[in-house]
Amino acid sequence: MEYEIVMGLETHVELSTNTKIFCGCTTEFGGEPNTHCCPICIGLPGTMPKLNYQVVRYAIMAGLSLNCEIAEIAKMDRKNYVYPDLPKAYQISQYDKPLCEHGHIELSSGRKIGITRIHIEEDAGKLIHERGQTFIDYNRGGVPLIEIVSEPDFRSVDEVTEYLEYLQLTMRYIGVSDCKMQEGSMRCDVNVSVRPVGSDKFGTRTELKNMNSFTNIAKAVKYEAARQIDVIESGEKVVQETRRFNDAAGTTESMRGKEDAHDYRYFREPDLVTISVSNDEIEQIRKLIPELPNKKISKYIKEYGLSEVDAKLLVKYKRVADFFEKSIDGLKVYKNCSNLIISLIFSKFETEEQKEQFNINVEPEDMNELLKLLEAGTIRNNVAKKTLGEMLATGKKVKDILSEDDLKGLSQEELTSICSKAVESNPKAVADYLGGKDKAVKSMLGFVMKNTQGKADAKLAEKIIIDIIKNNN
Amino acid sequence: MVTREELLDLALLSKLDISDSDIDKLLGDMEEIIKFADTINAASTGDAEFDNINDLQNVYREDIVKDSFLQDDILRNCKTVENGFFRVDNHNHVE
Repeated sequence: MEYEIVMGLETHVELSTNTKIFCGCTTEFGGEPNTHCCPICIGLPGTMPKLNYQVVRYAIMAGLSLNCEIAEIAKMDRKNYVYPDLPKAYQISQYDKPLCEHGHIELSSGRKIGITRIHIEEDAGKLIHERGQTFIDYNRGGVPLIEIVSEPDFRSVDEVTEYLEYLQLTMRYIGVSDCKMQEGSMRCDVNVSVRPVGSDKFGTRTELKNMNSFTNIAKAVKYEAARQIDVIESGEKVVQETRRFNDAAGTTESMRGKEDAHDYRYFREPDLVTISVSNDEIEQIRKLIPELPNKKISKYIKEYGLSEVDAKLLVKYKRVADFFEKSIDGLKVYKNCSNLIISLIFSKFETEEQKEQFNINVEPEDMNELLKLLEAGTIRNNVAKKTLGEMLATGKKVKDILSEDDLKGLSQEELTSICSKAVESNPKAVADYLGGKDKAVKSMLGFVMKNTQGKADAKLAEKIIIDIIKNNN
Repeated sequence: MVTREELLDLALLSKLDISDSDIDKLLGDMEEIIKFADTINAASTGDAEFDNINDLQNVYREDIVKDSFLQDDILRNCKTVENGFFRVDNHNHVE
């Protein structure tokens, strides 16, 4: 029998606020253990949490970017569980009145993935298990998270990857999170089930917890789907449970039976008041959202004439897209800029992180100046590349690198005169050309390039050379 | 009815040392506390809405960092501490 995989995702995204969700402790990553803590975030009795408004604002921005409806009234609830990563024995989260609901995104295939809800909650502390003991650091406890819950709309690992990359990029663009999977600021639980192709009923699902890389998600889902198919084919039933991915073995293993909502004994958090969101407030927050990456990509392709590959490469890193847009100010041709960024500037970076940071010596105004010279034909592409290379290496400006002579460019008369000399001093090449060897023009072109220090437009020079030969004969 | 065993379990979980001579008095106190909760539970509340009794909304904090507590102060109530971490030794329930 043929099976289909059905998946839904719960994605935790750590918000880039300065302070924790309910107290003024810093959210800075790292630090000595238990130094970013106070009685509120270590859950001492009698303390009163107070909601950080930036968390509400960021969650609404995320919701609007993912086409969600924003709740007029939302509230916080206690999710009770006993585990030492949260010292209160409950997590403050949102149960039946989350901030955002009913959103969606569209994949490149045109398929829509529904966003069930986005709610705000506090992160738990970090546990380190060693020598049969557990060491606890509560620095991360109380750092604000949004949990983005999708509908079970995924049918392949590729769709999951595209969705997560989309979320990552969107959250970075709107500035609510850096979404670094390796640092845990984006974490993902995948609900997986299988069913016979054509069936409209869902199979029993298992939940794969805390996946922290795209590669692991793909491996874990493939393994888990195959395992479930094996279970079904051998006449047994899939058990609803939480499983973890064992990276070293490439397998998934049972962690615990899956909890249902009633296991958590949710009830309203009595220490926090209702969140009421007005339409005015939503409109104010909407104004904070910049042009989103998917819109940018289609603009780059349709309006700027870039290829899809180039458009995606530029938009992938927000700082690069910003640099690109500032650099093309007032230009007519945008491709020169994207080519220089992708072929030359990107080659200076070794890691994704460095491209993300996009720390370069060149201001967009300087890049713009260089591109204007290139567009006007004052300098040729090879000179532009060489100049940009030097600008990147030394931080010098265009005018410090190019001589006055370079900046004058090459007039049509000058070029024609050098082309004439090329023809005069290469009688053999001329004879070869006339004898039917078109390639013979190249040696005369070489003469022109050498004598113009590469400033000549090769295509134009070739045409002039051929015209001169034809006129002479 | 609160049993002696339940009281001792509770004391253990709460990390309280109680002496034998206190047990009878504490059992009485616990009974009273539970009776008090029963009294509240028995109150007739009709259609009253308890969801947001203060009728407050949108009490927020600005996103401004304040000093955290010193590590020593944070760890002060914990009996087992190592290298700045809380340490849990008996962790039957911790995976």
